Amino acid sequence: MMDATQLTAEGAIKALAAGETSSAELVDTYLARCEDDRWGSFLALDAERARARANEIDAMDEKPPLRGVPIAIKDVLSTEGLTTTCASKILEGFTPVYTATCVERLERAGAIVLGKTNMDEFAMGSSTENSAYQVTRNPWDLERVPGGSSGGSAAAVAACQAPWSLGTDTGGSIRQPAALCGIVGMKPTYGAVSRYGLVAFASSLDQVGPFARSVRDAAHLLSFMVGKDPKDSTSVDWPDPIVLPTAERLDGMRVGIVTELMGEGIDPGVRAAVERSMALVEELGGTVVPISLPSSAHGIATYYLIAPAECSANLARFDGVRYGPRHEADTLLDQYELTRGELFGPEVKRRIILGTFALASGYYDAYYRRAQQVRTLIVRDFATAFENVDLIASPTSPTVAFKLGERTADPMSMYLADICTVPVSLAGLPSISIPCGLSDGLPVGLQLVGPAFSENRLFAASHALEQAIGFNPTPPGLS
Amino acid sequence: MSDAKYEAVIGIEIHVQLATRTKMFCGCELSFGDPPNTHTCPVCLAHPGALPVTNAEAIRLGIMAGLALGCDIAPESTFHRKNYFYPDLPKAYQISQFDEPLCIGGSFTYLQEEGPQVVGITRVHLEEDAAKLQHLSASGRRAGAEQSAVDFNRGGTPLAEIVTEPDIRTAQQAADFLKQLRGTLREIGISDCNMEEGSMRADANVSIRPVGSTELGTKTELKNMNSFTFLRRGVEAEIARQIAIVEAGDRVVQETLHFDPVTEQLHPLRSKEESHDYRYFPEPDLVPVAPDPAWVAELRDAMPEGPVARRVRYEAMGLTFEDAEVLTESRELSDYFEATAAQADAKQAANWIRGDLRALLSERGEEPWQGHVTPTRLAQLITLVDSGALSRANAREVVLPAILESDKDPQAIVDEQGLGAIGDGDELRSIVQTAIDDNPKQAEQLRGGQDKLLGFFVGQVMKATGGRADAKAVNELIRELLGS
Amino acid sequence: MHSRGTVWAPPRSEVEGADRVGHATDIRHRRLEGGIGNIANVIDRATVHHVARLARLRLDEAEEERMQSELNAILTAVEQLQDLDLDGVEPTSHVIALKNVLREDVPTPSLPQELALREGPDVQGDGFVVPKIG
Repeated sequence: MMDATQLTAEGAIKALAAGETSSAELVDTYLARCEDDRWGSFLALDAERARARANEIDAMDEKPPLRGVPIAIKDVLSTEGLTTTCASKILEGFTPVYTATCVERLERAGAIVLGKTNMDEFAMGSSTENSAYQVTRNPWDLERVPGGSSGGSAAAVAACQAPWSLGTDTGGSIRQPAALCGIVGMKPTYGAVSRYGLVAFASSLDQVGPFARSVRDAAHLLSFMVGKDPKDSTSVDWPDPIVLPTAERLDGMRVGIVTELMGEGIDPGVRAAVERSMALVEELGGTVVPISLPSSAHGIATYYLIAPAECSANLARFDGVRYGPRHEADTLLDQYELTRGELFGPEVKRRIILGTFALASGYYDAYYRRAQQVRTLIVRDFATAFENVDLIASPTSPTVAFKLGERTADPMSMYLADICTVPVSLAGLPSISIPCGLSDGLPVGLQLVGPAFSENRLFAASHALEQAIGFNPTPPGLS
Repeated sequence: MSDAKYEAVIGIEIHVQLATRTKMFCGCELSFGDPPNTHTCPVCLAHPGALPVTNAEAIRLGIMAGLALGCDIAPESTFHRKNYFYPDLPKAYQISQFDEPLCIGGSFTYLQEEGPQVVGITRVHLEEDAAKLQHLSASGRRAGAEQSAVDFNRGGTPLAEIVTEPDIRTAQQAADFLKQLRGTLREIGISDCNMEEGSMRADANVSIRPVGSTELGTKTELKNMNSFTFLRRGVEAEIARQIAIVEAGDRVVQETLHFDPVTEQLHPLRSKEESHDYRYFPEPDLVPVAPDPAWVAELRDAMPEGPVARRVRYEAMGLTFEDAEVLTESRELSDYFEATAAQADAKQAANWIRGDLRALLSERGEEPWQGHVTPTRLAQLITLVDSGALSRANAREVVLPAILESDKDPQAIVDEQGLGAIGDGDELRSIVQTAIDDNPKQAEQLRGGQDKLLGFFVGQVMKATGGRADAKAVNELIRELLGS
Repeated sequence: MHSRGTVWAPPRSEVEGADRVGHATDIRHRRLEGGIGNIANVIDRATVHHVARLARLRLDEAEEERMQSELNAILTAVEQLQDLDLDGVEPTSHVIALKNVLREDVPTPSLPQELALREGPDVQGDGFVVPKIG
């Protein structure tokens, strides 16, 4: 039996190639950990099909490149024959008729879906506490949140219930939970990965990306997902293949550290860990220069107008006509309003109303249009910064994992968890969070951002840093 | 209009179903009359996570419509989401175009007996159609509750919406405009414009104002009039209704109305208390459309002459307003006429096609371009008659039906059946003389000035020749031989 | 950054006309109510109710009240955008400069009818059933 707590996907593939294990054994090992779900990572398991698929791959002469390594999928990605609820009551029991392109590509490459992971309802939240079904606990401290919205996918990898997983990131929903759970989380350039089958929250921001225990695993997983999908008009032809990073040095690399995100509002322990990483950048031959992203201060405000506006339209299709449960009523209006009023959770309703308001006649110019203009300024800030630096660094989250329930009463305090990640999303740039140390025994994430389509550079630099940092992603006491 | 104190100001919005094979944003095949919900997919059912991808052919047809209407094709246009809840709109937003439509600012000239009229075209934009709702009978599952069923086959059908300036003044003009516009759109092949199947629908914006005023009154919108007659009657009824309101000292209320063609009554279509706020915003799932100007220029150059332009040309060829109107009803008929007119007199050709040929064919349910009467044969027939070699009566009653039956040239039929006209030669002269000799009394009366007896003698000669005599020549001979 | 609490004055050009819950469907005609000087009062109960109706969300009294105060808190926090000079700044709705992403007009298989209808909460015969449209 393989020891899942010590395994990366790369290690698993090697063991499979060497005949030291089988896909069936791996799937059983991980499924056992998934079934004992003390972290609340999973909303649904697909044990039967996973085992069948593992046996199928084990029997193949020509094995697909991922050789039957299992994966966990955020419940916001459509999976044919496997419930996809977005952690919402409005999709309770919903079983899609098709599979998201990115999942399909991974399955074709030989990945095996173990199940669907918990999340904030419709990916709206930063703690996974907005799930309509269950709480997910941080494997580093069960009283704390795993971050969100992809908290289940992050916790599953941190708790070694899967060697890697897929999350989605709209304003930080991969990077922030990766930071809080001490793993690697990567949001690709907007357009890199098809959104077909990703249940939309904010279409102009949503991206699918990997969680993993190593930068190389994240790069490897992403390499099978990128590229034009004829079903997603906003997906792009991928310029260069993603390569597995090997860099150990950062010679000649100029890293800009965002001064606005290293001051007030950032926990001292977080700042210290990021500062230590910057010292390592220089030790590895790179240069660290302070940079300013003046408009990023407006990131949260901009994001919390644009994302709700798009979500208000995206979530309008959940009307209880073609799928999902509904509240039966005699009039159409009652049926719509009662179905949606009862089956959406409070945060989703809050954002739908905020977004509807921002788009409404009389307010559009002052809110939505203005936010889109500020978005232009944020895009320009990054463009200016990248004239002088190769990568931009900051903390991923201003704090380490907070306690369950600590921020649920105050939406604005929850929104601030995304302060470092949101501007990057608005600019559509690739960004990775790697664990860079501990603060009070809890992981701290370092966020690195590159220009559009600089994924390879981003992976190379984070791999070099990861090696130098030497963080152990397995939470203490996990077995 | 009934009351000369007022004039109506009418603008029309036309929804045209584009002649694509598949839907606007997904690959489902378009169908009409198939079982419900058999042409759907995750995209047009708005399943979670599905995304739209624009149909290239819909863009091409939209541009063709714009070019035919003299519009500028926008260098870059975008799609927007138009948000409202309705069971026939699965995403609860319609992907449409808003402030950056595909085509902008053209005009359309339509013909009236008194002369050509120009209607400004504000824009042509693309959007997706809604699905179909059907009322269910009372046997629904929920006791007492009335229900509807949704069929998403039609949902997502590509539409072009053509919006005119308020340049139309009467209900008849509105109907004439729409009819001629339809001819143009069919001609360039962007739509079959079948109003019965809903592939062309018209809404009219109607207001009235005192004659001489340039201000616009409060307008009402008449929805979905699915025939030219209904459009005319609906607008007529609405103008009368508005005049009555104003005459009574009240004000017209802005609202949307439905014209019931059976009762000829207008009913408000939406409840007034429900305010509409469509919250348009740019569709983030789609990228801008920026047609290559060289390609647009190619399409423009390849644009066929429209039926209206053809009508103008036909009138210049000596045809009447009505001739030109009828002969441009379809491209096929136009082509048939032109091929005939290239080989024979145009006015004669028009007369034959509109008259004898159509009358003959309509009994058989055929169209002129379908049978054996090819343009060349018709032209030959006309020439035979023109030259006096075949009498009109024989041409009409014998030769034309014979071509249709036997698939032979007119000359061959004339020869076979010995229908060659007896010209003004000796043979005809002696036949006429015989007729005079046999009817001395009538000859005397004709000589005495009773001209109506000319017909009697022509009849006698025709009887004697089996209709082969040329009536004109017979006339002349009678007068000559009677010395009158 | 999130709680500067400045009093927002809308640009002059936007200050005329239009009621709070406007009906205009044309954004080119969208205007702000002149009276909005204090952003914290932007959303009153009637506005929450109206917007909830537009979004087809039934809120009970308590929810409506809570929503009002939360939204006003959020709008106060986003008020900072109103101070920025954005003259001549184009709005960004796409970060990637793609154009003309089109699909050939070639049919792809549709779902079998039973699959299309499978997830429907109320299917009778071959259609999705909704209360009668009145």
